[in-house]
Amino acid sequence: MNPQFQSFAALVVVALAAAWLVRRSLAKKKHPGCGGDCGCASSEVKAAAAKIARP
Amino acid sequence: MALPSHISAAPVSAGSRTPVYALVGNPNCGKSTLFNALTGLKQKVGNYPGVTVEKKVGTAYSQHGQPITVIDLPGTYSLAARSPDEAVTRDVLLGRRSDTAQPDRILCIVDATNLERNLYLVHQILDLGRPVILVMNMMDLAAEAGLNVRVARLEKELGIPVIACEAVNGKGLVELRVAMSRSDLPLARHAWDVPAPIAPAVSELAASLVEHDRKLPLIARAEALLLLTDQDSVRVAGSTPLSPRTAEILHGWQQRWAAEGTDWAGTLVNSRYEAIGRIASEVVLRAGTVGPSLSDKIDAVVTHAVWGWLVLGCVMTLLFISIFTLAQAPMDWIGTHTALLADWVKSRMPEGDLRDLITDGAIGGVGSVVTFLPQILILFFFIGLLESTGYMARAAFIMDRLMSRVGLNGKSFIPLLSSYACAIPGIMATRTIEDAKDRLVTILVAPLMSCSARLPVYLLMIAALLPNDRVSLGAKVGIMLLMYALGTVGAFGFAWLFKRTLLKGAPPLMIMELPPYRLPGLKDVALQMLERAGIFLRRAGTVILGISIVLWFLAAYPKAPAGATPTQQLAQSFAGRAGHALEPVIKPLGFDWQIGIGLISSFAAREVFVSTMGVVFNAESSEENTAPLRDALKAARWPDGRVLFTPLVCLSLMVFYVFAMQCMSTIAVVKRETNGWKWPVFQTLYMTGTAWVLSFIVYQTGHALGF
Repeated sequence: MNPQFQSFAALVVVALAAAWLVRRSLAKKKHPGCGGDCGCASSEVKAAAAKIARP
Repeated sequence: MALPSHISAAPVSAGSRTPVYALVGNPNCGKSTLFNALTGLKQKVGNYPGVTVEKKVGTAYSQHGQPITVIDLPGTYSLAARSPDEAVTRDVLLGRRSDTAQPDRILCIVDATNLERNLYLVHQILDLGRPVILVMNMMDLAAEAGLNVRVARLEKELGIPVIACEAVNGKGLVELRVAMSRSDLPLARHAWDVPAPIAPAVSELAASLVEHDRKLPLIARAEALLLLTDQDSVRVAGSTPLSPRTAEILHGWQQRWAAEGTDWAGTLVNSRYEAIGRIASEVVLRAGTVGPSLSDKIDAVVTHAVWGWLVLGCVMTLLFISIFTLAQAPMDWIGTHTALLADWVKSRMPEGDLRDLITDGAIGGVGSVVTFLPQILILFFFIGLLESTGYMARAAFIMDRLMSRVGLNGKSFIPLLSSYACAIPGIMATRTIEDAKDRLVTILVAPLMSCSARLPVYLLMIAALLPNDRVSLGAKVGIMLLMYALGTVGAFGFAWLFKRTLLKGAPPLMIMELPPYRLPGLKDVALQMLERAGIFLRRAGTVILGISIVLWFLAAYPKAPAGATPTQQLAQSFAGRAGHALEPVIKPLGFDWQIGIGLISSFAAREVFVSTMGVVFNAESSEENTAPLRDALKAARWPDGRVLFTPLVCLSLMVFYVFAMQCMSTIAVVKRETNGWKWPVFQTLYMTGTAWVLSFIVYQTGHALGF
C-alpha cells in the first residue's frame, strides 16, 4: 500500500464518517430524544412500540 | 347486585387482531417489573415512584402462544391527571392518543400492602367498562406486614379475575397468563352507584360528550365523572378540548351547585371512598397489632436528621472508592491492549495516512474512551443497587429538607438523581412534576448534576493531576466528591435563583411514598449494567468513532511542509487553527489551543473531550510505542516549556466541565420538553457562561496564590 493510496483511502473513510455524522444529526426522528444513548428505553421496547398502531 | 344499564354482561372477544392490554396502577406497585416478566423485555425498574414516565409497549404470549400487546403506563393514583406522565396514562385509557390504539383490556396492578389506597384507581378504571384483570402484587410483603388479603372475596366483590402475584419472584405469572388468554373475560360487577342528586348531571354531560364530542358511551360516562370531580376542566380535557355545548352544560351544573352551596364534587369523591372502604374492610384482615417493621427501624436511622446525612456521605464515599480501586485492573488491561492493538497495526502496515487514521484516530480516540467502561459499570451497579433496595427514596427524603429551602419541588429529587447517570432520563422524569414552573426549574438545573459522561473527564484529569505513586486514594476520592458536590450545589443555587427571579412561585410541598426496603434484584441490576455497557460501547463504536475519524482529519490536514514536527503539523491543521482561534477566550482559564480543540469537539458530548485528547496528543507523539493518554498529558508543554496540565489547570478544566452545557442530545431533549428553542438556548448560555466565570476564578485565584 503506497502512501498515495493510503491518503486516498483515509480521505474516503473520513468523508464517509462525516457524511454519516451529518445525516445522523439532521435525520428527523419520529420520537426525538436521546436516540437510545441514555438507556431511558431499551431498543427492544422501542422496536416493539413501533409495531403498535391505531386501527 | 343489578348491573347498571351501561354495562353489558356479554363475553368480550378481542377479535382477530392482537389484543391490547394496558398495564396500570399506582406508582411503585411493580408495573414495570410485571411488564418485564410478561414480555421478557428489560424496561428500567426501580424501587421508587416515577420510574416510568412514558408508555412502553411490549409483546407477551398467552398460554396458547398467541401474541398479546402490553402497554406499560406511568403510575398514577387516579385518572384525574395532575402531571404530564399521569396525563399519558389517562389519555391512553380514554383513547385520546392518536399514536396508540385504545386498550381492549386493562391489567390493573395493585400493591397488596396498600389495597385501600390502590382501589381508588381500580374503581375509576372499572367505570371505563372494559374487561379488567386485577393483579394483587406484593402478596409476600402483605403477609409479612400481618395482612391477610382475601383474594377470592375481592374477586366476588368486583366480579373480575383477581390474581395473587409476586412479580419480582415470578409467582402468579402462569395464572395471569391463563387469565389473559381468556377470550371471555367477564365485565366488572359495578360496586358503586353515582349519588342520586348527581346522576342527572352525569347523564346530561355524558350524553353531550357522545353527541358533541364524539366520545364512546362508556368513555363519555367516565369522562363526565372526571369533569364533575375536578374544578379544572381544561386540565381534564387535556389535548381534546370540550365542545362549546359540553362546556356550557358543565359550567351550568357547576354554577347550580355553587349556588346551592353543596360540594357535590366532594360528595362524588367521598361516595367512591365509602364504597372502597366497604370493600377493603371485607377483603383485608389484620392479624392483631403489628410493631414497627424492619423498614421502619432502618428508616429511623437513614432518614434521621443527622445520621441520614452521615449514611448518605458514607454511601457516596464507598461508591467513589470502588470506582477508583475496583476499576483499576480492568482499566489497565483495556489500556494496555488498546496500545498493543495500535502497535500491532503499526507493525503490519507501512507508514501513511490510513495507518495513522486507524492508530491515532480510530484506536486512539475510541480506546481512550472505552478505557473508562469499568468505572461507568461500577457507577451503574451502585445506582442500580440503591434504586432496587429502596434507599433512593430515603435519599430523596433527607435531601428534601435542603431542596425545599431553595424552592425546589420534592418531586425534583428523582429527576436530579437520574441526572447523575444521564441528564436525558432525568429531564424526562420531570414529567412527574405537576407545577409547570417547578418542572422548568428542574429541567434547567438537571444537567448540572455530574452525569456519567463527565466521569471519564474527571478521571483523566485526576490521573493527570494526581500521580498514583504520590497521592493517596483519599485525595482522589475527595476531589471526585468535590466535583459531584459542586455540581449539586450549583444546581441548588441556580434553582434558588430561578425561583426568585425568572420562575417565581410558592414553595412546593413534597408528598412521597417511601417504598418498603427490598433485597436488591441482582438480575435487574446486572441487566441494567449490561444495557449500559451496550449503550456505552455502541456510542463509542458509532458517534465517538465517527467524531474521532473526522477529528483525525482535522488534526492531520492541511499537511505541513516536509520535516515539520508533529506539534507544528497539529498547530497549522484545521483543528489547530480552530483551537488557536479559541485560545484568547480560554487562555485566562489556563487552557491552550490544544485543550481548545477538545472543548470545541466535546460540544457534541462531554466524553468526546477524552477521545479528542487521545487523537491530539497521540497524533503529536512521535514515539512508536503508543503512550497511555495520562502520560501524554503529563508530558504536554506550552511553547515556552512550562507544563500544560498543571494541577491548577486540571482543576480549572474539571470545574469547567461541571458547569458547561456540552451535550447536544440534552439540548435536543430540553427543546422537546419545553416546546421551543428559548429555554435550551438560555440553558446553554447560562451554564457555559457560569463554567467560564468559575474556571476563571479558580485559575486566576490559584495563579495569584502561587500554584
